[in-house]
Amino acid sequence: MTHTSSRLATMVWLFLVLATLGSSWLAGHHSFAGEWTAVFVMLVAYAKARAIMLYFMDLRAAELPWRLSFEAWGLASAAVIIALWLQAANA
Amino acid sequence: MQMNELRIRAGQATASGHRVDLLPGVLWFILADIIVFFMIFADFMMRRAGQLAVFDQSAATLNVPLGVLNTLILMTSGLFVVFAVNAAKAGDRGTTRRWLLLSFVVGAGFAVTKGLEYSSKLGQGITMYTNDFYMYYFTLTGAHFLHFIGGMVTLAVLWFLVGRQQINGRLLNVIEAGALYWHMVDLLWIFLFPMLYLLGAR
Repeated sequence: MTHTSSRLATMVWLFLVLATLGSSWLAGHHSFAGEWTAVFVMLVAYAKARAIMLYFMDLRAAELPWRLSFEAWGLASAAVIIALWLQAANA
Repeated sequence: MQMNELRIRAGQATASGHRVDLLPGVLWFILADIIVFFMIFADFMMRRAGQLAVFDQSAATLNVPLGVLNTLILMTSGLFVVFAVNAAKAGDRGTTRRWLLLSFVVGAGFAVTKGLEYSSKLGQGITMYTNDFYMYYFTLTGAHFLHFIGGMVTLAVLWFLVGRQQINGRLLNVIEAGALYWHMVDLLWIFLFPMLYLLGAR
């Protein structure tokens, strides 16, 4: 069985922290990435959610149907938020 | 449906004899729960499209640094739970309990921060009846907070159980199931925070 070692989990945590601080900073400095800021922030959120599912929840070691179900949820959540944000921004 | 088909490898590794593996049940519960949240995400975004100015102005009143702090709290508490599960797999009760306790203590910070946020908003006379944005804000963060409370109770129960008995396959399975639930609290916040706090940035 593969499971997330404490060392790997710490690396994932470091990514989560840096991604959180980076994307929140970007959201507060909107001129930096312009109208794509919100899209970028949500893509970072998706990457973070995926990291938590695969490593903290160990779903990369789960049987495929479980992994696919959770992956589909993450993808759908990010896609719906981004698509409706873009639609509202361009309306 | 055969339970075996549902069992993830983590459960298989700890399975012994005919005892029930809790992990498939917890995963079903989590999946159902986060799908409900997914539908509310979509609902929020559709309502936002119709009242863009109201939603963005209201979102701008939220305290982003406190939201970031809460994100860091949940992620760090989640990391400590991974450490606790790894210690439990090694059969180390003392270390397992220490990480569970740390996870609980760090996680408790989320309640403090959320309490500050809620009291600040309510102190300004802002409630869920103020406008549609705040209705979603209080409903979503409130529903999430109830999950958080459930997670804190779970961590406390695990800490208590590990103190009372040796870590066998059964207890390890319970610890893994509780850990999965706690990670879900983190997972939901990862989407809730940017959607509520950051999307309105202009």
